[in-house]
Amino acid sequence: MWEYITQNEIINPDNLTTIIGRSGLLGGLLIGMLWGFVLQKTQICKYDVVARLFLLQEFTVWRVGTPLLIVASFFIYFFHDIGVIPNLMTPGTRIMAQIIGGLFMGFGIAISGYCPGTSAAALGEGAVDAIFFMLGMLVGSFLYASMHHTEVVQRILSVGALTTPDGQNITIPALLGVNHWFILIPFLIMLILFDIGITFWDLMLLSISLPVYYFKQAMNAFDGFLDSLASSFQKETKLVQRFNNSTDTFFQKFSKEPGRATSTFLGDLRDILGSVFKRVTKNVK
Amino acid sequence: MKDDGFIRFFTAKKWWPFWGGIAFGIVEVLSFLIADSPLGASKPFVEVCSIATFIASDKFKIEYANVLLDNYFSSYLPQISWGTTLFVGVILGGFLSSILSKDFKIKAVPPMWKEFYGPSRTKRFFWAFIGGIFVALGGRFGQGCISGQLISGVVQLGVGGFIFMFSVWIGGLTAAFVFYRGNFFNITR
Repeated sequence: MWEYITQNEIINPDNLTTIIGRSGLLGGLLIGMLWGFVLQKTQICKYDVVARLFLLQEFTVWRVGTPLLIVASFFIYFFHDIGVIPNLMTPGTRIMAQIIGGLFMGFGIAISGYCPGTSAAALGEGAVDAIFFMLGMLVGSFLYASMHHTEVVQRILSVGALTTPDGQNITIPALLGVNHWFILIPFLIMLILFDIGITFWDLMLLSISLPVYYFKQAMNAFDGFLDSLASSFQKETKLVQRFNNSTDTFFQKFSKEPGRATSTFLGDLRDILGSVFKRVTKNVK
Repeated sequence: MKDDGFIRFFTAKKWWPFWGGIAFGIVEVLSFLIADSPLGASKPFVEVCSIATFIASDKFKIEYANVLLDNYFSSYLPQISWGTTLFVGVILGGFLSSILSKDFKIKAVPPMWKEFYGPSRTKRFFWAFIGGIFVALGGRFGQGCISGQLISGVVQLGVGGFIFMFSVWIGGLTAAFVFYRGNFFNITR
């Protein structure tokens, strides 16, 4: 089998222990280990974090992504200017295809919680549903490969395909014709301000969520106290039953429509208190 | 030795996102310097598909596989390259990090999914599978996954990266709205 693999060039055996370079397989493994380590430590490979991002509750993904963009873009352009990185490898630009592709991809990420890179880190962490995500990705790649040369896909891919005049992939500085530092420095300032903003927003959400959590615990405890009080009477009077029913419906409906549930509950309370008052004053007269 | 700051940094369960982002940025720059290539995780899936079609056409002599090999897989050769070992490395890296922080646990259904949709494993596997199909289709249309197009595109100030970032965000928000039926700001922690 090894001869089959090397004869048909599935693995090039010269590259097996190369570290540096575009095709070094061992180098890929080492860089991948670093990447997986960072992905798992920042916890952005978990479904909870990604789902809460799209529900606007926890912005860890953005708080990781913003310093990443700041550090990486600054150093990559810095090294490019010095000459250490001779050519940038910008991905291609096809406006229509990227809009459609982005919608599909956002849909897939919000449902499954994984992106291809984070699904590998999740598999390393022990999440077994990442395997099914990867199977779905294989099926999806195969579907795309069989669709790629139909006319519809080719027309979509050609709308808005932008390149520089000498055929390289386009960047915003090349599009506008300015030096990249003119774009980069305002971009970095915007990113820094954005990072400060979402960090404070996240900390504020965290400081609100704890009191709400404790309030819900207290209401549940109060509900249990009322149940024990009602059952300590030998027969449940009609009023206590009515009060129990109204509190039950209030807790059920509160998470879906809090306003209406509160007004219904207050109306019921008013009726119950009215009948209690009537009963008390009936004996007084 | 156990309370040493160095050891505690690597065995923590969660890094503060600022340091995590900086570490991620350092890894990206390292991959540019050492391997001359941005990080990307959707290439391995195309390569595995391409190897499978190559084996199908070579050993099993299926005619459709030859069509695919000439059309799409001529630009993605059936050859294990840097990207595939990168992917295997990510799995190993996640494993190593979770072992160090004692967070490794074989789990099938995430806790938040269990809260909203119940503990059924088949349901979770099904929706993960469907999500995978959408992510692969979207990634191939948009010339790369999140790391390959969004991060590399925005880091190098490419036009496509910004367009892709906006459409991913819009797609994800609509999907979350449809799936969670508008339970935004429902603080359940």
